[in-house]
Amino acid sequence: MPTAEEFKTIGNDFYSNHDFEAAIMNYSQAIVKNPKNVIYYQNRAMAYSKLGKYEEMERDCSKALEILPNSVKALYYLGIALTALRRFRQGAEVLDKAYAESVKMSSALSPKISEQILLLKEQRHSHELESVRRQSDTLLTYMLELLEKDKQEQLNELKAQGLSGQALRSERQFVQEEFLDKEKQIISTFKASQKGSQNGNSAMEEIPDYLADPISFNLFMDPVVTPAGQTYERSWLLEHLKGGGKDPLTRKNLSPKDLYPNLAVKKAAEDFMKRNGKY
Amino acid sequence: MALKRINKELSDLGRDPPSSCSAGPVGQDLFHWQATIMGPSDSPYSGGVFFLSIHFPTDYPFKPPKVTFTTRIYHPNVNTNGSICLDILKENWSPALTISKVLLSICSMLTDPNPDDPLVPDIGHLYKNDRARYDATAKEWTKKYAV
Repeated sequence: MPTAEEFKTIGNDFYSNHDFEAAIMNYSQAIVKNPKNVIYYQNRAMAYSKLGKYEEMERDCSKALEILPNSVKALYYLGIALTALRRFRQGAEVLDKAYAESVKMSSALSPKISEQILLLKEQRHSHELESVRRQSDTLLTYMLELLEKDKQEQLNELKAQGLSGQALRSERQFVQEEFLDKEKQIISTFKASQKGSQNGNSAMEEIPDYLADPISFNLFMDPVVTPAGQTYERSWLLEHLKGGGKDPLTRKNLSPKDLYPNLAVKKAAEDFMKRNGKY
Repeated sequence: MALKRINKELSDLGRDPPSSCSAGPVGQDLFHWQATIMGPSDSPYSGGVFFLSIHFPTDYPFKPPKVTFTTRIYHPNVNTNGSICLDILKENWSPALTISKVLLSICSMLTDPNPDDPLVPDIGHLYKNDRARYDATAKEWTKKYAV
């Protein structure tokens, strides 16, 4: 019988051959043998994500976090799962924690986590737009139903007034046309307001260069400024500085302790995200 | 991580293409691109179209892309394998550089070779000592391989 570590290794082999079902089976065996190793849960979580099984992914990440509450990887994976499950509020909390931990540990996952935070914000934005649109569709349907009811009542009234023959026909036609006009008006008003809110959010506005990190090209999330006045995304710059320590634009020596947060740019980037919902 | 940035470079290239170069993925694999450079008019490569192959490492942009000529070219800083001797592709790479900027640097390297740091010493020597013969050979190769 293989040991827990051996099961993990077999699982990893299946994983790299894209056989995620088999990888999961082997990670599960490893967990049975040793339920206290976070790596087995994290690896199985990643295999679940490849199969789109985010509920299972979430469960494994939570298990790993019970064992190691500040595991950057488990927090990051949990954030991915919650984003996919559209639990944005909880996901944002988890990813913020993952980001803070990763910067503290100068983990190589830090740039990926900052990107996941932006992805979550982007998806939350489009999710919110979508639900506003759905609400307005529901409201439109309701208004059209009310209108139809009103029309039927008026038509019934004509009968009650005792009209008949040509007189009834022309009155009926008058009512029908009047309501057709109203219906058209309501629909066009709704369509115009939907379009307006889309244009207001101007989904096509490009990220201006001054709000984009020169390394990742992403919208700023946690910008820092160098002594030369250049602004970079913290995690991406720190990852770059691990390999030499030069400012990417000025090529001057640069040390992580020279960096300060750029709060004005951070606010401007948050504002851009609110209006455009993309990074 | 690299993929998102490569995608952004691709869309930037589409929006604002550099005048004498083009670049894009070869197939489905966004980590492998092909690029073309038009020989600069003030160089012996004028009239030629040069193909290059670009491979992005998985840790791009922290590491430079691998750029090589696939069209043969007579140049002191390019060897027969198409390898290019250019500082920004090696020790002077910066993650703030882009494929677009790299291609523009290669363009200016075609106009102004660096004979003091030659990958092919013979061509470097000729460039410094017999410019007319260098020009003639470079023109001939351009006609033969790049037109």
